[in-house]
Amino acid sequence: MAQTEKELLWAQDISFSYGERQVLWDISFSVESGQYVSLIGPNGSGKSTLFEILCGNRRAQEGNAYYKGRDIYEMDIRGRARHLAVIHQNEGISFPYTCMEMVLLGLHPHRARFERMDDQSLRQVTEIMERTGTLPFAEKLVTQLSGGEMQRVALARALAQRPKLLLMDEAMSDMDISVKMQMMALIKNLVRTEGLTVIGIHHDLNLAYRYSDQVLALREGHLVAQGKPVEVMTESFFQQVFDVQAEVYPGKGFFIL
Amino acid sequence: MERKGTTQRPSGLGEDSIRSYRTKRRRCLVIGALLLAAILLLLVAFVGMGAMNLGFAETWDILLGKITGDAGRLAAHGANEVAVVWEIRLPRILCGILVGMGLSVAGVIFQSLLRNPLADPYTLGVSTGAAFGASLAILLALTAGIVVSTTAMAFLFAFLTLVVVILISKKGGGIASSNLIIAGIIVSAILSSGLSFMKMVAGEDVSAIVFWLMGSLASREWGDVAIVAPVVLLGSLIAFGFAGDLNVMVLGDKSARNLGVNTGRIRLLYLILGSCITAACVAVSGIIGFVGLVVPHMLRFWLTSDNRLLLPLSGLLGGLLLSVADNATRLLSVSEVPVGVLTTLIGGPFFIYVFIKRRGGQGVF
Repeated sequence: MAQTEKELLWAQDISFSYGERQVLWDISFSVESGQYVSLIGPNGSGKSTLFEILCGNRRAQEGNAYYKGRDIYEMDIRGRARHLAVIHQNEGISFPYTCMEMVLLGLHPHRARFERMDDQSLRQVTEIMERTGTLPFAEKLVTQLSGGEMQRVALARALAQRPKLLLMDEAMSDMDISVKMQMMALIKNLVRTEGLTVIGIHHDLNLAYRYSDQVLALREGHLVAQGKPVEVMTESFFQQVFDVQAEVYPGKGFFIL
Repeated sequence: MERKGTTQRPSGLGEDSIRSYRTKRRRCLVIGALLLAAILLLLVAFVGMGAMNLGFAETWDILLGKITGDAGRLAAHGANEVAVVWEIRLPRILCGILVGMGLSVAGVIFQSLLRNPLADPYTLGVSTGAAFGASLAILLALTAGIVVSTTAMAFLFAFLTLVVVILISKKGGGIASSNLIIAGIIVSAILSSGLSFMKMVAGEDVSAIVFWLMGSLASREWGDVAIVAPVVLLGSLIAFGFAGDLNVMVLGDKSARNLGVNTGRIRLLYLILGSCITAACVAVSGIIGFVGLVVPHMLRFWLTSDNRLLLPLSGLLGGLLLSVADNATRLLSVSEVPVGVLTTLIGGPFFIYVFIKRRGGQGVF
């Protein structure tokens, strides 16, 4: 059961329950580096719980999640943050930090306690802000941002963390369609050129269909399908997993009827 | 992607952002230096003022003589002057600065830790605990003739309160901010009714308790400085050392952990720091309101939220403001108004002003 060289993340027979209520049953999959993976499924299918286990914030009662062969939950918190960046859903901040200060927090795991902020680090951050389109509001306060802008700032912060693995929970839900496509293009570019690996929870199934190298579909705590979106997201899949009728145009997209 | 508008900006914008980031930080450092200078200058000036009025030069000379242990320098001044300066005024004024500093630093700590801009050093009931302890000491002295130090009892009960609050929230699902706040409210409420009961038992002697509760720095001595100085200074220093982690904590537990902060450890550290500082302040001065709420707010809205700057700046501004307020009550009013009354009286309306004028506009509260 050893991991191969290319496998970055490995979930092995993960089961999880909140008290009596079991929410995940024997989930196993592996993710190679340089892949964009979407985690999809209806509400209450266990996506978020699985997500928390992959982030290392929860421990599976049975089975385990490994990053490069290391138990994610047991990894040193700081060391883990140098490899894994996480964007959680709706993080609200009630203090008037500037966007730039917010993105600078992404450098936290890489910096010593009293290290001076050198020009190189600042340039690195402004470059990421430029690419995410957040530089124009660098001085703006995060308390004044719209939902979509805030999500872009959170993405910039996660990228400033220079992660090998990026985990996103509905990280683009508030972005308008054009921004969403720009951000996806940016992320896919990082996946292609720098070997970034992404696992994203998406309710936007079109997004998942269009951009994923692999989809993992959960229903009622079971991993019911995994593979390339073209292979997995078929008409019967929509029927079985989401209880909706869809008309699929393979390779292009689908309509929900 | 057809639309490239936002991804193809001239890189001059990046340099501009870096420059204004640096300028902003430099401005904070200058303001910090000015605040420190103001505190020290006013310290000497205030020590000279009072019923026995001494000039700045003379006061400075006495202070210098005492600090350096230069007997020759002191011989030039009357023994009364030296005693008034060194034994009576200086410890009180130092207490004022240190308490103001401590309450403001604790304010920043609790606001960040509880992720709530409305939190203050008293939110978790530490102050009610201190008040309970102090009143118990006063009551014991009045009724049973048992003399225990009011200060020691205040400190002890403040700390006990924190322990109880942490334990309750742990039992109730972990020391997340909402659990802590709720536990704090519950414990506070219980202690408050205990306090009311003691006031009733004290009967005609209730004024001793009431006066203590109002918060005052009158006739504080070197013994009080010895309590508050090490706790506030050392506590603030440690708090400053971990300020980068405190910034990340503002994002909430999950995000903070995923940014490499050991949230459990940092939260416990800051809970203990914030509570020790608050306990020491309250033990020495009683309950002085609004400083710990208003000072961090003003600075956040005028300068920065970055705790690495905000913590030291708040300490300095808090020290300065409370020192000015306390000396105003000492010098201007005939029968000295407790400074706790003054800070709330001025702090309240001022808070309204800050609230309305705040940088950041909507969505902060």
